[in-house]
Amino acid sequence: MDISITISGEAGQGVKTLGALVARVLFDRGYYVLQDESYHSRIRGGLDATTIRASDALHYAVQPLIDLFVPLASSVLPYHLAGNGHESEIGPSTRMLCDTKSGVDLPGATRIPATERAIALAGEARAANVFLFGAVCRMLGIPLEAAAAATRKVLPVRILEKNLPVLEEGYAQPVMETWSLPARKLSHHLLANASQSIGAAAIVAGVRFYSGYPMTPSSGIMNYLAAHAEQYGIVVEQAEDETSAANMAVGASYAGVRQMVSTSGGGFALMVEALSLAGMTETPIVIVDAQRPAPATGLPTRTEQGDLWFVLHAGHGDFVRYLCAPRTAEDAFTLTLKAYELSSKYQIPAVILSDQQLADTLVTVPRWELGEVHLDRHLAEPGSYHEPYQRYALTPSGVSPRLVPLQTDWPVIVDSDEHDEAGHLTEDLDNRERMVGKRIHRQRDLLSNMGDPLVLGNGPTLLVGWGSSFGALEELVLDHPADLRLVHFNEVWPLKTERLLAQMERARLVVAVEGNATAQFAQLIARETGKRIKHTVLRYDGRPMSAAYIEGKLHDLEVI
Amino acid sequence: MWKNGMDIAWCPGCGNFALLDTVNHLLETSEMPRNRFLYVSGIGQAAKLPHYLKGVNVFNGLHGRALPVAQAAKIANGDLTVVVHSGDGCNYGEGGNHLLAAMRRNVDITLIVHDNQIYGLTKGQASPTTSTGTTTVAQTLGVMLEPFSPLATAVALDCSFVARTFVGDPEHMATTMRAAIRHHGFSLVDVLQQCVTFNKVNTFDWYKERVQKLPEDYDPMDRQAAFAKALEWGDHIPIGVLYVHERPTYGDLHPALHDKPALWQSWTTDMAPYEALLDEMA
Ligand SMILES: Cc1ncc(C[n+]2csc(CCOP(=O)(O)OP(=O)(O)O)c2C)c(N)n1
Ligand code: SF4
Ligand SMILES: [Mg+2]
Repeated sequence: MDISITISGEAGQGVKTLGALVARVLFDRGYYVLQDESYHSRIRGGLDATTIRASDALHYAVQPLIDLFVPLASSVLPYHLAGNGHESEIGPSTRMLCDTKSGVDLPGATRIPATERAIALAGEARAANVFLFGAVCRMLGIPLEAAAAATRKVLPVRILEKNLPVLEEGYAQPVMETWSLPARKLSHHLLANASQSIGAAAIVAGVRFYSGYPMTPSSGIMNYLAAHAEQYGIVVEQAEDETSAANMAVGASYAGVRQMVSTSGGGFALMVEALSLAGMTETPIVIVDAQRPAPATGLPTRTEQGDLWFVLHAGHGDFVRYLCAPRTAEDAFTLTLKAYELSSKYQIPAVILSDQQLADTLVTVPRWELGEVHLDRHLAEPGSYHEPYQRYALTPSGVSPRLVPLQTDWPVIVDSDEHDEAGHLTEDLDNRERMVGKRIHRQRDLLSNMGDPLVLGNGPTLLVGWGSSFGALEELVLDHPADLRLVHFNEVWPLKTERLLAQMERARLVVAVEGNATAQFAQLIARETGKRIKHTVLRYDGRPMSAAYIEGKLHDLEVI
Repeated sequence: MWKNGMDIAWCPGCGNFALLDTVNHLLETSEMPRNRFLYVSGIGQAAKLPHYLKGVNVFNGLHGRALPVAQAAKIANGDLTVVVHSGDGCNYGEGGNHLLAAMRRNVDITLIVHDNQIYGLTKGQASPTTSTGTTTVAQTLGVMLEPFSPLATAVALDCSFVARTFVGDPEHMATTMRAAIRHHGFSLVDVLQQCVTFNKVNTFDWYKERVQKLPEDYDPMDRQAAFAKALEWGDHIPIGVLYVHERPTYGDLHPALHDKPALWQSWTTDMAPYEALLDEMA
């Protein structure tokens, strides 16, 4: 069982509500649910589409062919039919359901009087979505009780009573019961996107200060923390700009609070000087870059993996950083915790490379075991430092015992200028050499904390990927295990290369698969290993990777 | 130049020395232990001041970015008394947007601007407060921009405490700076200071001849009067506390800060409270 349902309308037509209802009922019936969002950068009009993929196996990527299509307006059809260089999402097997009032005139579409009956029953045109939801459930072979239970969970209480009769009548429409989705058992699972899983992990990690500036697709994290601020005693501050947000991050961390900053590439550009400041002052900070197509303003609501090279090199001068790129919303939770741990342990900035696809795609994930979380701020214990205390005392590892103000009676002195062990500025050039060495030296220890990349499949063609492309790549490789093999990274700096090299050694052909135009990760591999990956599958049209997309490109390369 | 056993990177005759003496005097006469103070600065000649203090916490950050760091540090640890020392270029130029936001945000910190009306450290270019017409190495035709009025801007933004003082009157400087630090809210003190090397217009004597203390009966609660005073510049330059508006600070208004232990201390490794976050996603 693997079904994809797409709901598409103009922004403001209620795609979100209908999508949430469908995702909820399928999740509650025990299916693995994936729900992506595709929207234009405007609040009204434009395209607002969501695809819900439900199956009895876990998937992390959408697939382009729609099984059940619910267009809310005729204006959205061109986006889903062939054209504009992409293939049609609607095929001979696609079923279509629409409101008679929608103006959609597709042959074979089932038309039901959603708006008309919604107004008659609830006095409210917007209830049409609940009417459609009833009919969708009927087509999916889901019992009315299950549909009603999902409606109760998703709709606000104050409009619920009005909507239940609408649901029932929608359910009673003469639509064809095309599928059968019996209830399954799926306990101990959650439905989350990476904005939520990163936000939740940050709170678990002890974040009590967030500074940021709104920017799609990163704002979900800010909103998540703001929604939980009161409950967990978090200060969420919308700064005057990203420059301020990032400098606030350094200030808060210096003063002992775990912080979070989230932004997208354009905002990260303004944070670069603070990244360098964190490097120089050896202050742990964690920043999320939810990537979107760039340069400049780019495509605000679309996805890309195009900031790797930028984030890797951002900041003037030499300093150590940690970069991770979660594969999934589940992975994002674990890696966010790791980003805090490594950033505190090595007193370095950490950047989590997310993207619009991860940020906005709801996916079924196993519930995280909080009992396995171990937190450590890595603040110096009494007796672990020499007195008088010096913030930048030289040590064999390069990492100095870190105190924060008022943790002891010792003052804590830090400087963005080159400084001596005490933290005071100095232009002594021998000191300069010692301090650079101290700051850089820790990279070796940091590298020993990097996990190996994941390897899947046994085929002679090796696909190399990183970050959010995982779902699409995994699905493809599991479909062709004898032809394909995958090596996939979720920690991209410092780069651990042994396993990759071993896999490249065995491969007949190596193909880099990335969501950017210049194969940035392949370039990084070439730099670190001397091995160039000649073949690439690159996507930079703003859409997420899918198994079908990669498969098509591999056909062109004649490897499958 | 050597002073107090330290190699101080200021020119002999620089107004920063008098400022440093005053800060030391305030620390010596304060009933608070020194480690309760956090001195934050940006980059410039003025911004080096915290390095010349003893026993205090120091964050010498980036040019223009002292205020974001200082506000966040105060939010993170409300037990700290946070004072920013930096130049006119740093605060009115590079960090201008942060200054506007800081006045509105009203975090309880103090900003002392060493206003020498010039960029000292980079050797004499115009700052936002350099007078129109002044020629410099970069403004060879003379400054064409209207000077920035920090105090009028501050009154316009309802900044909680607005004052001006002059390095030539150490007592006035000490009184004004002490009042600013004690004030509950965001305080701005613009300190007129000579740069003997690069500002040949606004010299020590130039200031000395012009500064005038506010009259005894001046009411700093009167915003209109304060605005009028803030616009006075020329033959007479008012010094003193121009404007005070006691209003709730960021810390008073924020439920995570008000009547709570310092934020950095709310650290727990107990995972029980977080299960609720996961329950929400079930
Ligand atoms: C981002 C950045 N831009 C420029 C500089 C160079 N710079 C250092 S100090 C300064 C101006 C200093 O003027 P001011 O703040 O008035 O301090 P003063 O030296 O006069 O005390 C400039 C432009 C810098 N350090 N960082
Ligand atoms: S250049 Fe000007 S501000 Fe800088 S130390 Fe010399 S006199 Fe003072
Ligand atoms: Mg200056």
